[in-house]
Amino acid sequence: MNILEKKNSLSDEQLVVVSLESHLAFSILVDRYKNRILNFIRKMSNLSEEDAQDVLQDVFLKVYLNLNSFDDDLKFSSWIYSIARNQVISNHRKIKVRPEGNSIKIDETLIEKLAFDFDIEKELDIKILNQQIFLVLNKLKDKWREVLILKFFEEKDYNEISDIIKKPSGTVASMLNKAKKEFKEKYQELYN
Amino acid sequence: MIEKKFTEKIISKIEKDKIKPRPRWKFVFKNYFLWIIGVFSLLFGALSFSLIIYLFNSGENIFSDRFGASFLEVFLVFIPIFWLIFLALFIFLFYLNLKKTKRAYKCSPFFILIIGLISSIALGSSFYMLGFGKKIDNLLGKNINPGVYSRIINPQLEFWSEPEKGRLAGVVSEMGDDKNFFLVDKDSREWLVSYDIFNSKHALRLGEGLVVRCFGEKKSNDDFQASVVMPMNLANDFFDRPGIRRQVDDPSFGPRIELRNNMTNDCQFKSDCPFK
Repeated sequence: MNILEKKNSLSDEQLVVVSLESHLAFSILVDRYKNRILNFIRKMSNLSEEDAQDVLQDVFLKVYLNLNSFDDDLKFSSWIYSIARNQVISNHRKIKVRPEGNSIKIDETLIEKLAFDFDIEKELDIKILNQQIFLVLNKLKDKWREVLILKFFEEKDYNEISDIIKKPSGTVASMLNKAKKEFKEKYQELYN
Repeated sequence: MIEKKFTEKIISKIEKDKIKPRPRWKFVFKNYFLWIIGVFSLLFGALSFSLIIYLFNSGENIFSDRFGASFLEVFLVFIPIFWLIFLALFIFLFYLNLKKTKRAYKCSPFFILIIGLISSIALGSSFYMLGFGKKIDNLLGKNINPGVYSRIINPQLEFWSEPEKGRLAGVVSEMGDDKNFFLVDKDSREWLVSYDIFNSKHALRLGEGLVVRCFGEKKSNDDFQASVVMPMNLANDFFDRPGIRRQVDDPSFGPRIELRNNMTNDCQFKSDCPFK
């Protein structure tokens, strides 16, 4: 087994420790997360692919700078999502308005799952459904948007969402309920 | 999908800009620092609470007697608003610091605030029982600007320093007879207080150095007729300030000598004249 294979077999948390000494280990972490985090950034911010990549670069540089602050009681994925979330918020503050019309393609099964959870007409074309969902998400307040994205598109559980948005699990549960309600109302308002 | 180049770009930026992970001790220090500030806030909150109990207890039957003041006036003076604000500030500071520690987000803000409040009350009550309330009041009374102390920190002193409204507080500088004593007030002004101890409902053993509050009527600029004389219970060390002390210790300083001369003239032919 060569060094790369050996490092590839390490868990994220082990890679964090090795990354303090090795750029190769850090590059494995970047490879593991760059697509997931880029999609998350795009869903959260509606930025174009290029702009989202700039934010993504800032996220990885922040991760690298703060490797020593990683709390190994947490999952690495929760930690990096939390950094990405903060970066999106700070970027959002800088540009002041959230761009529109950059909805991204979501996995078909996720769209179907969301349609089921929200009692949305499933006969609709998946492409149209995808667009509709993003349009409704864009109309929601940021705090409702982010919990819905984390729960339904990133498939995070309550504890992980709690670690990402830094709120107690109970608050996450009630936020999700409220967000679902808001989503349904907005959806009905726009499409029924 | 992002191409492989992205990862190389990140690594080359790290190498080119010589970016290094921030040292671990900085994060550990920050976390400890937040905890220490949090604990100190809690301690200061508890000290404030011990003073609140002390000041409130010193009012005794003030809400029933009121001594010539309206209920609102008494309420504003005897509920230690300044210290309640202080307590709230320290609890909030405790919350702000704890909120930033590593796993604090797992608890709701309400829970942290309640913990801060309950701890301040429990710790503050213990401090009060250990006599901290009195010690802090004495420390502040002796060292803080007199105006700030009597108006903001302990407004009871100001309340009891309004001879026009029949309220006078000060330290007994010299005993006359059963009906008279000299008193130096918070502004180092000396008064002759007339008071019939045998007809008083408050049995108080008066003595030099005792800090008292009197309710009655101002007769002239330095003459006060008291119907009630009670121990002051608080602000005792305030009257230990050098200006007041000098007035108390030195009978030839200030108007006492003049008063004494007048009184000696007035009563020199009486057998029980204390100023002969």
